Amino acid sequence: MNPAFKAAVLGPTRVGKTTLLTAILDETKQMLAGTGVIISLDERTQRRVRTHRQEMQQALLQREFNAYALAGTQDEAYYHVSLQSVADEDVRIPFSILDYPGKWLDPDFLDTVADGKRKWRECEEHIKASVMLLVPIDASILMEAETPPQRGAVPGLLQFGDVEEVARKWASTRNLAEHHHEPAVLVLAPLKCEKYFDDNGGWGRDADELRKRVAEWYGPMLDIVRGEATQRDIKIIYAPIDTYGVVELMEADWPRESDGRLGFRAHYRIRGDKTTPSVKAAGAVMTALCQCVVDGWAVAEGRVLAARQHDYARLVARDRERKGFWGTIGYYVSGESARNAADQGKTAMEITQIEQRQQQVRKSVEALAATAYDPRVEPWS
Amino acid sequence: MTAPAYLMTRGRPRENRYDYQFIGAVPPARWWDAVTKHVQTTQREIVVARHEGGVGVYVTGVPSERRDAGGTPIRYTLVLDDLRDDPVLLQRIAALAWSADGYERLGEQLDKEFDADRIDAIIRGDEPAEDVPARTAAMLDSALEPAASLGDDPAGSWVGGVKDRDARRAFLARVTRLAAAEAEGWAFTSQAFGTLRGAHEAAADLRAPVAIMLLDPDGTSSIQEIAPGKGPALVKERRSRIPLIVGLSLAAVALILAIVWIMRSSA
Ligand SMILES: Nc1nc2c(ncn2[C@@H]2O[C@H](COP(=O)(O)OP(=O)(O)OP(=O)(O)O)[C@@H](O)[C@H]2O)c(=O)[nH]1
Ligand SMILES: [Mg+2]
Repeated sequence: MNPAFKAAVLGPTRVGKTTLLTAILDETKQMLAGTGVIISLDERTQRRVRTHRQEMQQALLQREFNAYALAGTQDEAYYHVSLQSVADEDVRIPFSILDYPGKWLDPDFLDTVADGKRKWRECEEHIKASVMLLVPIDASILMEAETPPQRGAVPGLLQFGDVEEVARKWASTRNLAEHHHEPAVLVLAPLKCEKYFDDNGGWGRDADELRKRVAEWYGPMLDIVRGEATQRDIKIIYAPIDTYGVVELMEADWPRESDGRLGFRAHYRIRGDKTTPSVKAAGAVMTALCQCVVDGWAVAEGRVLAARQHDYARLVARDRERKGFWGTIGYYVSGESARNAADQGKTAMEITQIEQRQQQVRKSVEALAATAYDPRVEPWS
Repeated sequence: MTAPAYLMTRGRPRENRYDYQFIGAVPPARWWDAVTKHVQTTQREIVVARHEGGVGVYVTGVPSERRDAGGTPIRYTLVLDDLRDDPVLLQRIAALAWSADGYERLGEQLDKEFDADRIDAIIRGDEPAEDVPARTAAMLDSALEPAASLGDDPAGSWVGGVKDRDARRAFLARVTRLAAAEAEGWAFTSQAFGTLRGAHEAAADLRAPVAIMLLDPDGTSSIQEIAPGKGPALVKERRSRIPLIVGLSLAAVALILAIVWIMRSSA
């Protein structure tokens, strides 16, 4: 197995984690069109995404859009995705993105899942090793909460406590000496925000209010993250995303649930007679992820060049043994991935070709990393 | 008297304690766990396996009419731990694999047997539930189609598509042979992959004979053998590293130099 760059989503159940991943992959595909590089999904990932996309499509074909029609995730799922040369599937940069049932964030709930503690530990390990933490936010809950009791219900509905705990662990791991120089990006991704924007078929004028509310409600989490990261910077990106785009919230209810707390129900309508999603701003996430790789590249290359006068073989051997981000970067920078691709008795010409493709993939990653963000998206630090 | 049928579903309220769980009684062992990464547990899938406690069947993705408080449709999962004594029931359950109507009917019957208020009350602990597995087992007979005829089950591991009649009959024959202890391992449907390569990966991971019914195959549906150890999944398998490291060390260093040079000149 080639080492992969890791990323993870963090959010409670029904917030939109799985839908967000689907939207990101769809938009990346479009961004890469015509570059000689494609985004390739392993078979199971491809199936998972396809099933999810079909469910989204079905939801749009219903006369009344059910805001929660999609089946929740039941087990942990690793999305194995690579940016890959069209000409040679061995020439690629792989990513491994973790999705899981949001309810696993709740420690009490975990007790009731067979093997839940062990599975969640594995998820946590992946999260801690991730260069990017992707935090989907239910914008409709933040924006529709008006009365004091409604606002009082927000932290529970969005499980701030549990989300903050995981973000804290992520940030404190990023702060460890061995991870200092690695990239670390936190993406705040409001979803279900079609109503508040006027740039994707709607007339909303609430972009500023949404930004303000996200900053307010997620301020404590950002403080925790910055507080943990004493030895380094963590990049924060604000990226409000439309995964459907063609629906619009009409009415929100705050019914009292059986445990006495306020719940939240959203009623949507489909704009016009649209039947396919119109994704907006999701590509920014892949852009940010590629920036992590490119940044890492620069650092790793510095190390390789600095070591040139010294001992190559030792450096390469060490990189190969290294786990985590630097091991992964080292694998692609040192040429080991090229050697692996070339190690089956290839001719000099074939090896040159592999090197060229490697350059091509690298150029594409750099181009993706340099793609301008959608105007909705803002770096917050 | 049929074996108990463990029933998993969720209640309507939003709170986590109403989430998916076995109602009334929990199967003593999660013998199906090893296969869950090779199926889509939220979709229609069927798994049959020999395990320490017998020959079990796991049926997931059975639709309920119920919706949870947020509006998400609710599903049922059924587990029968041991059907060695009732191979016909096992065949009838396995045949659900190619019957969307069969799934619907099973879901309707379950909804009728256990109404929404009752499930919520059971989960809250307000109503007794010990009889749920027995009642679920008892209603199966009326919810399922009569048994279909069996076909030839090739020995060893194979994969076939649901549209192929021979594959369907072979699948039924395989589950029957599993029940009779004439075959080992697993028989299951999958929507998680659709290629021979995906089937090879599943077989390699499970380390046991498998009969896999692809519900959505990419390409041919007819039965194909899964030869142990080699297959299309493995054509890219690397040769042993050791002779390579020795043989290529010089070439490798030269290559690194070249790549570093390229990278430097492009930086
Ligand atoms: N209107 C709207 N609905 C969305 C958006 N993103 C997600 N949804 C809906 O929100 C519901 C939950 O989405 P999922 O992606 O399944 O949520 P999840 O976070 O993966 O949930 P779990 O798997 O239970 O943890 C689905 O019915 C989606 O259709 C969005 O941007 N706009
Ligand atoms: Mg999900």
